[in-house]
Amino acid sequence: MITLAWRVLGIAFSLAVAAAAALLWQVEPQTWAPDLSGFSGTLYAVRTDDLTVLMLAIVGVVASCVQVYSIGYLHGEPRTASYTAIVTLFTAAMVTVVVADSLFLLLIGWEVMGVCSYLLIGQYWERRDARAGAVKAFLMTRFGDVGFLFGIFVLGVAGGSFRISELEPSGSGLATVGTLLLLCGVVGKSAQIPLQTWLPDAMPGPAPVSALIHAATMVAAGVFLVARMFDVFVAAPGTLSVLAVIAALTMVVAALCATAAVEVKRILAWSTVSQLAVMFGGLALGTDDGRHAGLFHLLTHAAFKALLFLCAGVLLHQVGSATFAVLRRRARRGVLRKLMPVTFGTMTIGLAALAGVPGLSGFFSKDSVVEAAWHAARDGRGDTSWPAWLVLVAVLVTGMLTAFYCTRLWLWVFFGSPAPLGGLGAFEEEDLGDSSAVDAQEQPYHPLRDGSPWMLAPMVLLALATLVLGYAEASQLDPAVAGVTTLALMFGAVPAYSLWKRGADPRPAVLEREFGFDAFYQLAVVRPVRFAAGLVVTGDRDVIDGWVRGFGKAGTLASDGFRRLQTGNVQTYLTAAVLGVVALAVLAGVIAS
Amino acid sequence: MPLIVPLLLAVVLFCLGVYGVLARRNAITVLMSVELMLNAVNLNLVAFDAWRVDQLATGQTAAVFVITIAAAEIGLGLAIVLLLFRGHGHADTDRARDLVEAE
Amino acid sequence: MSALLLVLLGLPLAGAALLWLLPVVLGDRIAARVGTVVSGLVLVGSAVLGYRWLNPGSPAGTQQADSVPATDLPVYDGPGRAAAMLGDTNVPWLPALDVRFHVGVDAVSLPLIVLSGLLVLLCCVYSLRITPQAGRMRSLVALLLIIETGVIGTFSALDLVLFFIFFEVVLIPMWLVIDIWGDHHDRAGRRLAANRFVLMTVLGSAVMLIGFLLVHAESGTFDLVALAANPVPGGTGVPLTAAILIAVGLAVKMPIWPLHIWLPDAHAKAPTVGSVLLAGLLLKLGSYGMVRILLPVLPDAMVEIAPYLAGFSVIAIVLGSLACLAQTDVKRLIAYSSVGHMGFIGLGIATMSAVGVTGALFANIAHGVITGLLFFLAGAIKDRHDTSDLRLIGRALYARLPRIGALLTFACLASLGLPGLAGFWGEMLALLGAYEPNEALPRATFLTLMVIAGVGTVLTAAYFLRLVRNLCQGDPAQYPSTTFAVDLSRIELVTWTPLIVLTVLLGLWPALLIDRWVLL
Repeated sequence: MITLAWRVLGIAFSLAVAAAAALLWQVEPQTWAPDLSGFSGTLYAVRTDDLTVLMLAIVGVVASCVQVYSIGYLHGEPRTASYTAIVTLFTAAMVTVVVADSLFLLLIGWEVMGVCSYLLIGQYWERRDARAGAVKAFLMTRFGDVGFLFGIFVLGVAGGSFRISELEPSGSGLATVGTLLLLCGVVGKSAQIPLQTWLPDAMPGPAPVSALIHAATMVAAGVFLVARMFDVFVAAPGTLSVLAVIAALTMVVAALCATAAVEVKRILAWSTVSQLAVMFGGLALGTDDGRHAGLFHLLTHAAFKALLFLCAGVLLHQVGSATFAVLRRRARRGVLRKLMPVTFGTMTIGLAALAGVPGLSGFFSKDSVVEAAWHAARDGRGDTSWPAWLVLVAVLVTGMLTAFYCTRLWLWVFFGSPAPLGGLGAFEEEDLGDSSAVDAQEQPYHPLRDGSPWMLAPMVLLALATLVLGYAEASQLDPAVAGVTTLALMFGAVPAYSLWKRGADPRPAVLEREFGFDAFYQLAVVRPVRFAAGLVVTGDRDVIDGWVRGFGKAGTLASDGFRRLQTGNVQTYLTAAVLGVVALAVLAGVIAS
Repeated sequence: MPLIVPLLLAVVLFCLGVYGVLARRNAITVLMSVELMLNAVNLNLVAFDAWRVDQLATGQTAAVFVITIAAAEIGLGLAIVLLLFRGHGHADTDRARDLVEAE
Repeated sequence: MSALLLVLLGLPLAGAALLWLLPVVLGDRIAARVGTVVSGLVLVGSAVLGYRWLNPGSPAGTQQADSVPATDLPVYDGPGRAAAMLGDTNVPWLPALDVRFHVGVDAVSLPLIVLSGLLVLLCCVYSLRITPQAGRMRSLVALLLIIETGVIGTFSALDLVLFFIFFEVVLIPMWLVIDIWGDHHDRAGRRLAANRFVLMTVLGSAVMLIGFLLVHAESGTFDLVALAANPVPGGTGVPLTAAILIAVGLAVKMPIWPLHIWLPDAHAKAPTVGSVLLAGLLLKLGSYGMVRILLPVLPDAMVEIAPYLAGFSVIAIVLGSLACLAQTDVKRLIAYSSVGHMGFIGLGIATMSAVGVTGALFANIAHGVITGLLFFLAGAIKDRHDTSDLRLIGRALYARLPRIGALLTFACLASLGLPGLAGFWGEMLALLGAYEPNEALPRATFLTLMVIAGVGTVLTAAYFLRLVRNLCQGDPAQYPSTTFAVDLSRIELVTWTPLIVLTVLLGLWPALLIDRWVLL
């Protein structure tokens, strides 16, 4: 009963958010603050403009899809009421971030999103990886948020107001410091280097949560923030160059890590990190074109990445696991393709969009980023154009890698391998001979079939969106750029195909270890902190408490010392008395004279 | 005779008394030394009274007081020493450490 | 209004006396009810005072300060500096010692007095159904009421010696509460904890009293309103010594590292209601004293010692958080978290700026509410498992006691300073105050301390999440349900709801308090 009530409320709220986006589309950009003096006047300030409408639309549509999908995904599981409630709270928090004009109101929404993410990743708290992933996500984003808070201080105090609409873009050093600090929070929330390792580890959460939070909305909040405060960022020298470097590095590193991951959701998580970096690359160009391209990619990415995660969720839900090994064991010879046609179809569309296949929305948005980078690199002055060149090269390389891992995922999950078994790194270990005998022998405990309509309907909707959204900007396409990106697509897809054809999946160790970031953090952060904690407890017990016990001991020792004066011998007492009298007499004599 | 002579004698007697009180082991001897100190004080009082004749004869009166009180005090003291001897079998001040602070 | 304040001071004492006059059996039965009625009346009275402060209808009892802005709220002109004291009573008391009985409230003390009324009321309501094993409810409730008098007295005292007296009043009742009704497994431990609490605090208060005497020697009066109007000038010599002594005395109470060592033991051994009052009220006496006495009366000396106070506070934040990471006892963990939170309050006070002090005052209230809730929860868990050791309680509380586990998570999130809940604003304003401290203070030092304190907030999050992970989460197959334990009971829900509501309310509407403290 309660679950039903929360579900209705959740879906209604998400639809209301989408409706609000539609209503606000026609309204003039404006800000509003309650007419109160003091702190309240600044805290509850809100605003609306194009960016707000775009984000509200994304949040509303994706949240509605996810809420509906969750009805099927979490069917029969415990704690669904609290899950739905927290997803609704998350939606409200994201709306708060998007409409906030006050930096503090934005921070409230920002952090509440982080908490909801923590709670939802830990939905299956019986599992160790879920517990660990939730804590890691929260702590890494919280670390970034400390810098974010300091950035708010610097900009707010220097600008004289904590309202975004009243911040004057200035080129002072203080503005650079402030925006760099804000970047700390952005890097944390959007999982860029060096705080990128939490996002792949957040995958133990339910797939709809990954779709909503870790693909479409929360991680996009960082992109949103840079876009929202774009004037301030552009005016602060140096910050955008730093962002460009981070973006370029993250793009390539994350894409490389995706090529070696062996679980569908993990590949998608690294892909998200990489695509977010592409959006940041667009924003880091500092031009209106770049901002527009970044936001366009945000929109399309929300659609196809959410779709992909929902598809992965269906695989997980129906097959039991999303690792390549299990998927291939449960569904040999491409059986998945035939038994789960809707999933196959929608996932193909999603992967094609991600890879940048011409005609789909991902193609258009990635091309707009490349085009903006090309214009910025070409038009920029000598020393300020290197970020644009860096972004341009990185996006093209990432395009290749993206195509590679998308093709890899598609082929390995849905198609039987034509090659003999035992190829390098491949997922089958033994050849069980004739396929029909194999499938007859290996009776799954429940027959594989596609997901329930609750799960499939949102996926179809998002697939349609993926097909259609690109054409909103189709008119501005540059054929040369389109050609280059398609070439990159080929360069990425063909090697993946040939490797699959040979039945091999070489995964270099450095990529499997994901460049050792996690190990480094474990060594450099976690272990010293634990050691310091033990040290502090010992210090409290032995040093500070030692002082306190020492004081007590000193008192007791002094008391012991004075006790020894009581010798029991009368003559000792009398001697002391006589000496005292003599001393007093001498003193009296000295004073008198 | 000059005043200094009985005064000096009184000082010597007093010091002998102090030594006896502080250093002798036998409780009776300690009491005897106390008596010695009191008598030295008496000698002092009488000597001063003889040196400066007084309407009220203060020195002599005080000496009589001291004698009386000494007698009362020695009665009490000897009773205590007697009890000490009865309880412990000795009247040795060094060995009478019942009131020592426990270790 | 003066009569109301005096009634608020005297009513709990009268209640305690009444309880002790009753025969033991009757007294034990109705003690909690009497306590509820008395503390309820005190809460209502303090709410009336608060209302009067916000709407000064009649001229009697309030005077407007000189510079009144356009709003009709009485302007708070700074700690103790305003002439706008509500409920002022100023009669000679010990003329030979130059001590007067001077009480009154203003914007700094009123929220704390309301908090006191609320927390004592909740403790009495909690005791209606949930009584400690040692019984003797009559004495326990009477002692709680005496503590209430002492706390309200300290918050309303406007004479230094009177402040000291009320400051000390709470010590013996608290000692008795810890010693008699504390952890019933560990007799020697609770005696030690109680002794340590009293002895360290008394030593601090003695040092503080010497400071007060030095202030009197310099200025000739003990009266706080007069002293605030004419502060003791000079940053060296006698005023500096006085400031150091008073600061040390108050630092023992707050507590500031390294004088904090009594707190974990005291909390670990105290009963639930004792811990709630200790953390919720008694710790505030120290920080309130700093705001009321140190800042207005010895401003120049305070400039000298502020960097050190800030340094020790930040050390407290970091070391308190690190100590929490290694704790295995729930109540000790929350006690160390209090050390960390009071570190933020100390940092806010040390910035000597309007923003920082406002943050410290807000954090006072927020910490009282949130940590009160945390200790109630810890007490509930401890009562159900007869131990507060995490290793013995086990894991997967979400499965065994789902509602209490959820409330514990909520309280932990509030305590780690999540924006949107009460704990955030105090910490944020303290950090903002450190970003721009008073002009007389070295800014570079404070910026460094601000950064370190910021890192401290991450450590705070780390240990609270570790607590939730090790206690609430986990594989329920390994930790079967304690079938005889009831999840959230009705009395617990009734007692904890006001605290939960206040946490969310203050988080989303901080202006409720912040706007009352118009800045220095």
